[in-house]
Amino acid sequence: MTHPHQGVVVEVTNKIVVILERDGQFSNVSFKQIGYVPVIGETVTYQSKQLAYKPLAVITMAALMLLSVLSFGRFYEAEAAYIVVVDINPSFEVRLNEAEEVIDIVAKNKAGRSLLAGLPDQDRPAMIEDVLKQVFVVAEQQGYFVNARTVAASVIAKDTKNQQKTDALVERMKQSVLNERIDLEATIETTATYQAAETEAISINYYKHFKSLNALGEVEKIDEIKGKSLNEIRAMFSKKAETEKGNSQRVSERDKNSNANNEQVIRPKSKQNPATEMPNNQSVTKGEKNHSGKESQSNAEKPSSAKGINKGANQPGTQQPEKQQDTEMTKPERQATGKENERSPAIDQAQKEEQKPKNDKRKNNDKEQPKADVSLPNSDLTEETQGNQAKPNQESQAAKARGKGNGH
Amino acid sequence: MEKQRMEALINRAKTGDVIARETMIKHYKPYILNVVHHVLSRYVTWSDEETSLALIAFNRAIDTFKHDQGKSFVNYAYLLIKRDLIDYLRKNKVAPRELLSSEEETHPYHDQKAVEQYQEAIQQSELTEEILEFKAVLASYQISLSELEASAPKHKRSRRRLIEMSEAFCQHTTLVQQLTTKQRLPATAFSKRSGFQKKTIEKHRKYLIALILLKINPQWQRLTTFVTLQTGGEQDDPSSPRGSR
Repeated sequence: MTHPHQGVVVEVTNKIVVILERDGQFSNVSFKQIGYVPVIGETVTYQSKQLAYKPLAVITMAALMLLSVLSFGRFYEAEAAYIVVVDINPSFEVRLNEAEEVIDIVAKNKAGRSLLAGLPDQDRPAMIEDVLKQVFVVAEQQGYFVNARTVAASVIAKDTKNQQKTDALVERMKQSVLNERIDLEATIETTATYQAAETEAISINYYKHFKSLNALGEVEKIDEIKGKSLNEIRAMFSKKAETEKGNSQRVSERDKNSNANNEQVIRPKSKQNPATEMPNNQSVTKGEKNHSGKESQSNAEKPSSAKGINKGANQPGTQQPEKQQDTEMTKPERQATGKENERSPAIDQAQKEEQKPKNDKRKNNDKEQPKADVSLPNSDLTEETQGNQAKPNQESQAAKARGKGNGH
Repeated sequence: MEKQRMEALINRAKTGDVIARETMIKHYKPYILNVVHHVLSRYVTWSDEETSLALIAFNRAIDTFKHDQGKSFVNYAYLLIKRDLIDYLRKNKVAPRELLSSEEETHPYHDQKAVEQYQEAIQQSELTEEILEFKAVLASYQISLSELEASAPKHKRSRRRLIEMSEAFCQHTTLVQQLTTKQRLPATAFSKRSGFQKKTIEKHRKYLIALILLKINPQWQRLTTFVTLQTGGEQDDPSSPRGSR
């Protein structure tokens, strides 16, 4: 685009021609614009190229426009201060600016698109609460709340410093759906999690469920939860929890069994103190009643000793405090070791009959018994031999007692 | 250069006054160079052979110029320089643009307008004289004509505003006196007296000085018309196109 100009040449240099125009404008013009070398004082006409589009300028302009168009999305995304990702089963994102006003709603899946298509195009509310209400109404109409009224939402704040503001936003969201009878799970997530979910092409709500399930070992790949509804994922959680509970029960039973085995192994101690057989916070009788199977098992192995223990335990002098740890019980066990041995059924019977125990022999037995405790290996065989060894002593003592009694 | 002063200088130079001759040459130096540039269609410097030939031709013009023949000295000098250069080019078998154009001038169609062209040439030579003088005066203010484009406002209304400022300046004789004696624009004093912003004055200082110089030199009749506020319609062009000289 050129404009013709006319003026008088006032100066000619090696590069330019200075022209004085009629409106008092001095113009420095190249020889090319005039076409020849004029003489001073000559009136010349030339074409100004001030408005002509230079190729470089055109290319620059086109590049700038292209760049601005391409980077529009990025700039637009940068404007969003909060991103609220909502999953009913349709997924959508609500983007909010610094003032927590809705600037955009983006569908994240096909169902989300159909859901958002049901929203009115005009008069969209600016507040997130109103948007959620509007969306939930449409979701109800489209039948997404037939089976369950569960909604998961994650709030991603660009500025993580103002935590209170984000908390308030989440609280407002929860309050907004109180009357809607909707179970809204709203959490605050980090931008890193959001980006990780974006790279996995899955909603952040599903992504965090996947992380939890993956940690539990329920799922290995993210594809396993893709396409599942929130309720199905919740069912996976509850199923896992049930299996965990069952396992824990089995584990607890196994633990108890192993405890019982341990008790069997340290039978010499348990013979002396019946409290070791019962579970914590339980008396011996309770233990007999509640764990009759286990007790019977141990009793089957040691019928005579078990009876002796029970009898001994029922005696006021040997009763242990009800709430006593196994470890605490070892001390009184050791103290009562000799007495317990004395109170074997045969001796008790003899004591009841004659009421005159032989203190000297008891002392001997007391001295021998701890040695047997220490020396005896933890085996049934040793217990049997111990039992066999103890029995003749008891019989001989009883015979002696009878003899003495008869003598008196 | 005024006509009387120029005649006096030429007469003195003819009688052997070297200073007068030197003054004439110094005054017309840009014009001599420009004519060589114009004829050869290429830029030349004072070290070129063609410019030496042009200076010799100009010197001869001083010696042979006659005031009573109705010719302007500028046109006469131009004619002599051009002829000498053409002779030189013919000797060297070079055909410049000017040689071809001079042949075209002999066409009968151009003969019809020969008288008009002659009149126009006279007017243009006077304008050339004014421009040369104007350029010399500006140089004393350390301003070249090529600087004025950058100093002048781009917008027509702003230029009108500056022309009004120059007219306002010329009304204060003391300010004009300060300008011509010190060769420096009294911007602060002018701003206080006229109310124009000093920033505007400083921004367009060189252009404003050029306008003021044109205003305070009314003898440059043709040049002054370029910077006069046009109240009515189109003003007549003081110089018509030179044509294909």
